[in-house]
Amino acid sequence: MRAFRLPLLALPLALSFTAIDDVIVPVDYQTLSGFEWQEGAALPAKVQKLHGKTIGIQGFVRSLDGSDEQITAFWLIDQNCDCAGLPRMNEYIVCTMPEGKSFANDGRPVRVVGKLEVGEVREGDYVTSIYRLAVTRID
Amino acid sequence: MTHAKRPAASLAFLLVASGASSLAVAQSSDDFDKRVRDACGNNPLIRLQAAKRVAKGGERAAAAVLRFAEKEGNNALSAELVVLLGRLDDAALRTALAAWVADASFAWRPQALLALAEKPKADDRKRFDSFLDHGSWQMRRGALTGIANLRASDAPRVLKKALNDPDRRVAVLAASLLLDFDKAKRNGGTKGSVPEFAAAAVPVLVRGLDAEDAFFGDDFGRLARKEAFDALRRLFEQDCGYRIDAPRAERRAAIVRFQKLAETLLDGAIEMPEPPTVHAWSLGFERRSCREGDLVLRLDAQGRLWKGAFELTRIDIDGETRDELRRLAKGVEPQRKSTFGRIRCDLTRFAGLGAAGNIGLRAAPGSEPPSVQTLEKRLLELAR
Repeated sequence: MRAFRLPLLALPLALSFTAIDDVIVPVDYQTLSGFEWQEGAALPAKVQKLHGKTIGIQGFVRSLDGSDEQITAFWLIDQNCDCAGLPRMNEYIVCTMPEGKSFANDGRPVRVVGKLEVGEVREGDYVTSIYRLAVTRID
Repeated sequence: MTHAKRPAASLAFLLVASGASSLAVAQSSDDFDKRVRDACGNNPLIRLQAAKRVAKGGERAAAAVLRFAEKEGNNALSAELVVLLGRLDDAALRTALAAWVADASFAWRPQALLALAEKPKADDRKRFDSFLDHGSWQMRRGALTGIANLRASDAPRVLKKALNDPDRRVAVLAASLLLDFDKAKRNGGTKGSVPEFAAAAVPVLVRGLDAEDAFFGDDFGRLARKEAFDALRRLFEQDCGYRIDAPRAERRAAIVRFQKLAETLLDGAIEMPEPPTVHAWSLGFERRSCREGDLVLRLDAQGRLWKGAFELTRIDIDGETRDELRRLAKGVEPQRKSTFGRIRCDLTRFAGLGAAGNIGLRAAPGSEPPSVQTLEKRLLELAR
């Protein structure tokens, strides 16, 4: 898998929450979203094999509670507007900050590092995510 | 069909029929008022999924949406729900969507326009036409989508004109729609021939693979690159190793491969412009507005002021004005937060503020801190 980064970045944050990172697998949305997701269907091997890996991925932050301050959980998406329609299930990652940690979102893209969990999660009768990330670092 | 196959076929029919029946029962028993509340609630993940359920709910779901809007106000609807409402294909809801598109104070105008564009009716045409030259690139995209989906005989003419839109996000969408327009016509059996509109659309798509314009790390070109890539991959049935998010230098080889495929298809050369100058920006302002139109102003490291995205025009300012802008930007104090006001359809963004130039913020128009409003006012004066 090739290295992934948006060009010409001026990154606003460099928050590290662990002393030592595992090997970081660079991942992009093209890999995560390159299939048609169907509820209950098995996910492709190429994304299943990322389960449990420490990955690094870039994107835009949207908090889960609408706030941009002291964010402790957010979803990471590949666009900063819904101008191309809504993100599909495989086009976002639900990210959780480490216990007691938070950060502020100023709308600029960030690179998030953490352990990826792959598989459907339901809230009530809705599948709400197939990708989740336990954040260890935000650049 | 043989007798031996009939029982299996009958069973399959019964299973399908019972499945369809279950779906119909599930829809009819669904509490769409709750679904709509979920689709407009605080949790974006629930909003997203609930909105999709509403969009499949037929007339009962449409009625629930209208009840919610009546009770809570139009602006209590979520963007996630509004953009999917066109799928309900409900007359009363379409009337409401048209009113929301016309209402400049409605929070989600581009989403409402896109909703109407999904399954457009002939009487929507004037509405789409009226937004073709709108100052918001998102509104222009909605209008083009609606005209393309109407399958009007003059749609290719309109889409061709939009290939020259200065915003690559609009031009690439027009090219993609133009190619699809042709593909639908080709379903009659001319597969294998050069698509009718390929000569106009494909060069724009190939050039779209190189669209890039970074606003302090936020690349305006990403959407254009993604849509250009999707369209070309469908056309040539290969990806040429292109990565949307790779840096420009790493995209180059894949673009050349797509360019060669396109030149072979069209039997002619495709002109690729030189990569635009990469500016080092020191101050940035973006207004994204479905009311007043979009505006991007950036000051580069040399103190030159530029207007626009993708195709930049220079605004002449003297040294005194340049110093004034720098002073106003540096004078912005560090803020306790980075988002101001409730951002809906319209927003303003600033970057390169503060003494160190490292403060960025975004705001609902008019909600910026006073020192930022002073800077914004001066920038808007210069952009006139």
